[in-house]
Amino acid sequence: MREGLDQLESLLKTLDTGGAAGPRQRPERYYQLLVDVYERGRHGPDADSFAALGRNRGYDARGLGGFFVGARAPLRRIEGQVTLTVEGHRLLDAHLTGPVR
Amino acid sequence: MEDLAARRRRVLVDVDWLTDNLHDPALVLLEVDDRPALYHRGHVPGARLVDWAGDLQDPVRRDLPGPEAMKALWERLGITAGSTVVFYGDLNNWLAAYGYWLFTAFGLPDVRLLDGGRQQWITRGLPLTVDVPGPRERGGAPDPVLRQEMRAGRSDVVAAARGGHLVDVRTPQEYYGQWLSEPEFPGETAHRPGHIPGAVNIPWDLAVDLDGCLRPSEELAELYGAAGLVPEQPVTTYCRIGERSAHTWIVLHDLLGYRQVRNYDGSWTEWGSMTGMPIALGSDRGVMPVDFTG
Repeated sequence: MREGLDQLESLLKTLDTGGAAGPRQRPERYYQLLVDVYERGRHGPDADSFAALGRNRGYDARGLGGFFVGARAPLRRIEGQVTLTVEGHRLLDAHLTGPVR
Repeated sequence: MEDLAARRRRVLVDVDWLTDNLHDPALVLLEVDDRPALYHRGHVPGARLVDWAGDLQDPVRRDLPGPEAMKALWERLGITAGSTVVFYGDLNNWLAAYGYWLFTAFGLPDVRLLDGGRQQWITRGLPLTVDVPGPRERGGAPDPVLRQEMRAGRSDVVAAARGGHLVDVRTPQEYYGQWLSEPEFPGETAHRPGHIPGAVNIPWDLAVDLDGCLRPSEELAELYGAAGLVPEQPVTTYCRIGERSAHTWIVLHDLLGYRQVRNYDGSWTEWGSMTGMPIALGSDRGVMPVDFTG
């Protein structure tokens, strides 16, 4: 029983962090989009601006939707504006303090 | 008396002004970020990085830098008495505003803020560079003298809570006591949540438009006037570590012409960590106890 729960929890964590493409395997554009959102300041971009930022990084609407899904989603919408979550800030910091590419 | 438009022209520069003046030898362009790594990934050409943690604080005590350290910093940055110093940064100039306040408090005569900060420069599609400018010629920095009337200590805060205006510029959740700090910015915090009794809550970012620029001065005057603030009466601002409150200080003192505005740089990390300090919770402003002296 305990073993089964551990396996289930492990699977949920994997799904929550992007499935097979775990945190270390996210593409550069994923982090760049988080930087783009951060660079839009305290209020973040509105939906249209966010969609444009996403397009510039090669994301379609469905791909962008994935940034808002899950307990560890990096982005959230507040009154129509898109901003980083706590997890988004964590990923941003990990990216910014990594090697400059 | 200087009108609002003239004040705005003196205090703020926009990206067009900056692009026109990038090569002016009198310009000293300084970037201050919450995430300094951003500077190394791209900054406005000619800008120098000022580290909020390393350059704008005393390296040992929880305090402002002393005059000698400030002069050494100004020398390193190539600042002279004739310099036009322009600050900008990330998060709507959150920490750049602190640099502006600090340099102004130490008596530098011509300090300005790039309206909208990094956000405006990037949104306009203007070029960024990773080239770090070389050292500037040293010598000629003025002697920094701290203007104490721009800074609040605890006794000033108590006086403002009783007989003036005390403005808490943090989020409502911090003011109510629901958060010790914003969840996204857990770095500096205090032992107890809440607010200073008597303080009114006017979050700093209400002064900022969605495009990252400061709202029109007339709207700002209305915002603070509606909260009962009066230009002729003293105002003290505070937040968590004194940087967001520096932003509001600029708005009130330099943009709107409030005559006596102090920034409590000790802010909530000081007040909420000391033993025996009065604290109010919830939306009620509370009242500073009559026997409390700070």
